[in-house]
Amino acid sequence: MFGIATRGVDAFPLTGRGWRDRLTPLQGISDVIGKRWMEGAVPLVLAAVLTTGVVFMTPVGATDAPLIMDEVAEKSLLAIGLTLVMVAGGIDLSIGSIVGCSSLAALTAFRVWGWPMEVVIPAAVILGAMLGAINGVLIAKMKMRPFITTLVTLVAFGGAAEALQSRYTNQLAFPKSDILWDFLGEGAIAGIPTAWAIFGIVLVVAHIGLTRSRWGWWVTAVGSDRRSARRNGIPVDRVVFLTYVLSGALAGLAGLLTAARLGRTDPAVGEGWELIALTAVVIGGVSLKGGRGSVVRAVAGMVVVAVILQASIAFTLEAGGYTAILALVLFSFAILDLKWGKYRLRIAEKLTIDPGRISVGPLVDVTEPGTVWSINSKLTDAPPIGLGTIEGAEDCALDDEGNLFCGDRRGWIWRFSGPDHTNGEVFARTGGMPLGHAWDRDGVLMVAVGGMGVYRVFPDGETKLVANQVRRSLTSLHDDSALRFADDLDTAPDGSIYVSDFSTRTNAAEYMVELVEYRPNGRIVRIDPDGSTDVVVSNYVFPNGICTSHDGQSILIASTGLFRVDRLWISGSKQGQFEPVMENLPGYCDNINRASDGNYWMSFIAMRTPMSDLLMKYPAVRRRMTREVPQDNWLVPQLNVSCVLKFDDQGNVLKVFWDKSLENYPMVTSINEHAGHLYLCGLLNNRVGRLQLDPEDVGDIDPRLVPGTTGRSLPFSEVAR
Amino acid sequence: MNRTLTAIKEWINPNWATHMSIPPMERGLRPNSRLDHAHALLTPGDYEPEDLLVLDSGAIWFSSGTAIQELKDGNVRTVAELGGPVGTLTKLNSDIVAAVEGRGLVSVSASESVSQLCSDTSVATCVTDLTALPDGSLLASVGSTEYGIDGWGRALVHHDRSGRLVQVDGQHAQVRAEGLGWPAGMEADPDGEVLVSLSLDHRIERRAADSLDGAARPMLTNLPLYPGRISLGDNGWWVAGPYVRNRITALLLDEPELLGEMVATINPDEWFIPRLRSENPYTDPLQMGQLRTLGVVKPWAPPRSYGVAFRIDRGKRISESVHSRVDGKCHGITRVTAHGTQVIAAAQGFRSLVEIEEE
Repeated sequence: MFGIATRGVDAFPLTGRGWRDRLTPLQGISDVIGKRWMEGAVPLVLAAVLTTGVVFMTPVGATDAPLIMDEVAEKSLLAIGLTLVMVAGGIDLSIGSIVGCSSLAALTAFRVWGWPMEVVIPAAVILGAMLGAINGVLIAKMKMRPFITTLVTLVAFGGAAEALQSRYTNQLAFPKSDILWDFLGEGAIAGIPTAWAIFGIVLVVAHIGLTRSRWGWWVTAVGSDRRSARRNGIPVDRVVFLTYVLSGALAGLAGLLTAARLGRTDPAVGEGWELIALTAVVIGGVSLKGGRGSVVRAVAGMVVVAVILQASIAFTLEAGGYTAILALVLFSFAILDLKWGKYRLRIAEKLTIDPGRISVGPLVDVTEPGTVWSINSKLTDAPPIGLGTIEGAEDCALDDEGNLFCGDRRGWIWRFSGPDHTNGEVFARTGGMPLGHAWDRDGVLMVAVGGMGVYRVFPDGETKLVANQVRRSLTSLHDDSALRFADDLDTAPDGSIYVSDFSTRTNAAEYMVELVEYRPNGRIVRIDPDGSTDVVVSNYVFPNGICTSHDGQSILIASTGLFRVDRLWISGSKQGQFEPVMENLPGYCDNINRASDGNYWMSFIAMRTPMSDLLMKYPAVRRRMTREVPQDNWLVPQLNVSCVLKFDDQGNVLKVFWDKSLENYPMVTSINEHAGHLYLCGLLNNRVGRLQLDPEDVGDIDPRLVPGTTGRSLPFSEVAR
Repeated sequence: MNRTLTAIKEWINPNWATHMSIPPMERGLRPNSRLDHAHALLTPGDYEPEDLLVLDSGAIWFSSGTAIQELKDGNVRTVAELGGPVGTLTKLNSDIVAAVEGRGLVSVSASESVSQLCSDTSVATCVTDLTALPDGSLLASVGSTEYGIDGWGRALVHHDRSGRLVQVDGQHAQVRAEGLGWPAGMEADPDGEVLVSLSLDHRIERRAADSLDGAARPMLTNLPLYPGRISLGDNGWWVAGPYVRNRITALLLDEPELLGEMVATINPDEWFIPRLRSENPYTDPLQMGQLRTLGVVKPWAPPRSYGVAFRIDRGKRISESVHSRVDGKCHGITRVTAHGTQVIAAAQGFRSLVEIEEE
């Protein structure tokens, strides 16, 4: 419950907290409330409680079940019809008198005019449909208000039924028998009473029709927003018209079944049924404003109403008493519909940021002179590439011909070619936020695209999806299947791709929410060469850099939020083990890449400060900050500094480069070494820096090659798709 | 529990709740870059001017460190070394009175001879401003009796209200008003009223000179800054704004537990409170809006340090203001004074004096 879903290595203990801090109660509530089905679930649960209460507190019991079921079977037809109309944004009050009309007409046709039953049955339904069509024409074509129109037709159809009744009063009283008539009234199909069976079929068809068919989606769309529906090419008038016709037809069917069951009828049949159907529908959580509702829930609402009716009969209440109770129930559920529908998502929104607590270690003071960290200006004068054309290159990659490929926040991948990388062109378009770049074993460019997953980019600029999801974890309320925030990747010698997924909850554009919330929502995903995916490390705090080690036996993972680097062994005797490499760094780690001399480069996107460390101990204050202070004012670690460091396999920091001015290279997110130069990328910068390395820093390893492989057969420009 | 009660109270009547909102800088306080374009009279960094006076001769006297300096024709010389941090300066008859931290009020005559004016303990520390009353005595505002002149931040985080107004007549000092939230500036009006700026209350009010502890008439309330010293000029009063308010600081001030731990464990220079200048970004946290994006820091980002001063006209409205925003450097204005058409500001954060040009 509440986010305890562990797969692969569980990295939660790295946060230094106990099981209690795994729980995210507010976020859990938010996740549940935010589910679409919660719309109707709350009214329905309340209805179930109400029913149970009635059953326990009144003489109504199991023996009343068939009676209740008869009631439900007939009136649910009305409720289903009404649901269709209401989901399309209308209302149909005339169903009660359509029932009266059709039942009286069916009886008249059968007993007075002597029509055969094979004709009477469809005729009754068609009569209902025609009466509904009158509503439909008035409302859909003539654009009259549904409420007043159906109120008028309620009276008009009732009058018609009464006229029919007074014309044939005497003849109607004579009983007449027919096998089909009896079958409708008292027969059974495979032991199930006919009326129940018909109701069951209608229910299934209506439910599938409303939820699975194109027409059903149209109905919902029209009810949600008429104007948008029209602009999307939905024939609004036709859809609305048809809902009234269907509602009328179902009312006609209900009238026929009633007449058959009772064996007699009068204009009072059906009187007030529209109120019963409306109550049932509202109890079932069908919105009075249209666009939301389900026929199954409407039927459940009808069960509640039928139980109340049965209880009122058991207590021998007068008819007025039953109506009063019904009105009361309708009233309270209408209020619930209004308030719940209005506030549900707002409550979910308010609770969704649920900051956590993380134990932080001691802070190294980088401003102290004479340490390896001492601030210098080594990066400041690195000449820029693509100054002013690039907008936010998080990472880059260089091919054998010296072309530079880097991302852009607009979803593009740039290629800078020529001497000093002066020719920039948009090489590929991803549609997401290109973050980490790496080469795979065949020399094809792979890009982790924020919001989209992992893609391969071919020399012609075509992109192809590698993976964008993992299997959903069974215990998580939140759907964690998508790779929402893949931010770096690297290839292992066996061809599998390791991807760091910064967070399963937010996407790349909302990273600041994670910096404030501080929950171990990240994970490491392995993409098998066959395309299947699995989670190898879960509950990790902001994994943001990933790099295969020089020996190819392990991968290094940088945790932005825990200021540490860890190693996951992927082959050899320690396979599957997880161990720390560096801990308590003074900054927030980002991408790691191999250096040519057998070490590794890493950058910090932010520096820890005493204040931001202190704030991490106070989740309630951070939550208050997200609620009361605009995002531009949120207090976060120092993100404007640049820091590049070199470390070895044992985790010793060897060298640190800074841009003391903070102006040219703030927030370096990635460094790539190639041919004696360091390429400095920044997620929010408008350039890529190219820093000439001292000869002592340059070795003879090609950092771009997958460890364990020996060069590529073809340069990138000639790789086949 | 307390917070629940507050929430219920707010639900019943929104006016019962304390709101942390800070008004925007608008109308007369609309931001501009006039301070950044102002002409620096000193090489920034050489001195740390706290207060300044323009003498009739046109020379500028300013306090910096433990001395009073004179700027005349572009040359700076030391007028007097006073043996303690020199704070505010004011004219009293033909002499200049300086508040020296730890020593009291010191008088410097035109011939530059130094004499002790008042050594009463009530004006020995934390004198933020001085003004001459019509009867020839001096009125001193004491920011706090708990903290020294450099203790504004401590006073802020401790919600200090021990500020005073003290009347000084020769050696005799008399407390005239108490319980104020860091009175940072004063100016006596010829018509018998005194303007007082209350830094921690974000307001400027008027008090009658003969009953300073009596009813105060608010002049400007809920300012988006912590007002500082006030100077009367030909066109009204110039008010310096050494610090501006920040929503995060307002939030932290409302979180006693976090604030307590901050005070107990963090070096005061790194507390998240407004300051005169921002120099060491490596230990400063950031506010999201200060992020350098595509090479640019937005000038309107939430400020930690800021340069602002404004003029209140005779109609008691803010009619003009000068700013140096987040992208500027001329921050931490501690005094603005108008001398004829010349408007000169002491920018302590910028460590210089600047002459503001006409609009």
